[in-house]
Amino acid sequence: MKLHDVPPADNLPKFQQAPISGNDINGLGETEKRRPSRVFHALGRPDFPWAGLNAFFLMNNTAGIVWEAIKYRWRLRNSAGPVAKQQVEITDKRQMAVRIKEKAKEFGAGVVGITEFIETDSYNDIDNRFPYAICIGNPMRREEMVHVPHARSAQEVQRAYGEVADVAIELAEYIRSLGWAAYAYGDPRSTEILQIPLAIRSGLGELGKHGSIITKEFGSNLRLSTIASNLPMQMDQPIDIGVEDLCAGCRRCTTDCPPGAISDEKQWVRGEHRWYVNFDKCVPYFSANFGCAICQEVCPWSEPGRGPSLSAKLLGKRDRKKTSH
Amino acid sequence: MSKKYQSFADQFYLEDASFFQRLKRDIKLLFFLAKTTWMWATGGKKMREEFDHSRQTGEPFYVDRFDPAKKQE
Repeated sequence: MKLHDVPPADNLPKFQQAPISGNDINGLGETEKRRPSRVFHALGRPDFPWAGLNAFFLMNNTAGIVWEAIKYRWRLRNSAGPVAKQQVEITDKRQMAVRIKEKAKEFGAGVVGITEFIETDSYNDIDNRFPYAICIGNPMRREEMVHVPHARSAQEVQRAYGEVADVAIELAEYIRSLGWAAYAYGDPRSTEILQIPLAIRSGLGELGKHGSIITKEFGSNLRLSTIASNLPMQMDQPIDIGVEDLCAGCRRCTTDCPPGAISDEKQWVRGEHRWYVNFDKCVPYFSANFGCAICQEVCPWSEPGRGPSLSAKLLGKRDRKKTSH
Repeated sequence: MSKKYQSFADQFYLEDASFFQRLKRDIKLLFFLAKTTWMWATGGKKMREEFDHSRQTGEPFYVDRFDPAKKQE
């Protein structure tokens, strides 16, 4: 994908009194595992140092983006609901997982996977009460997203969040009708969980250098939603599609990121050595430019239809390397 | 004293509720969304104009003043 008319990263919104670094809040450089702290999308919460920029981000939108966000937030009210009194007995967890995935697809899910909730999946001020997570990903319209960073792409992001949340809401309603609790999580502004680590563990894709998930089906050109539930289901395993092999040598997102927030080296973050995007460099540009998303769209995996062949090529190359050694 | 913080979920998600409780929630949410739109159309418009001006002139654009906690002080 070719970028055009990308705004420069100069004269970005800034603080007169610089807040604590978002990288420190995120635990950059920390080798011990810990639960994440809220760093953005937390307007109204006490002790939120980046609130000024967050408020600016929410207001720096066009009417079309605001309209999509309002429609979507209206629908989000159905994320929770009553659980049927009669509980369906689960004798085969594998069969139930198959049934839930079929239902998710029927409701419009693009990709779906199941994993368990672990402590580090939710922020440190939240007590998660559910053992399972069903992760869903739906693609965005590429013809809109090629305009990043632009109001058109931002409007499409909101639309896609709404669409994938609708699937989660419908699926949660279905699970509750079986007599099991279920709670749908929509976009990052209204949730208490980290959707990317969950989606990776549920086998939807792998973490890319740009800090987003990369799936074989849609690359990074997708939005996620999650359903938390106590319905017993067989869990999926993380997958290897060759993302590590490509990211190690590809520099597309690092060179195309206007504020230079993406690093070519993995770093320690809350006890995990992984790809990390510099929050302090990324978020001012992100807020000033309609949620940016350049890194997600220039990623080679996001080219429509390219994922399966790219994955086969990368895994084949790795196998050949192994056998030649 | 500041009001206790309630998330979107705390305010608008209901697990077991009667028809009237749901109706009350829906009305409250409509007001919340109308207020958000009003803020975007008034204060937000002013903010966007200031930001555009700063981009054209190169003057710094500070966001500290948009922190809701600082506005209450």
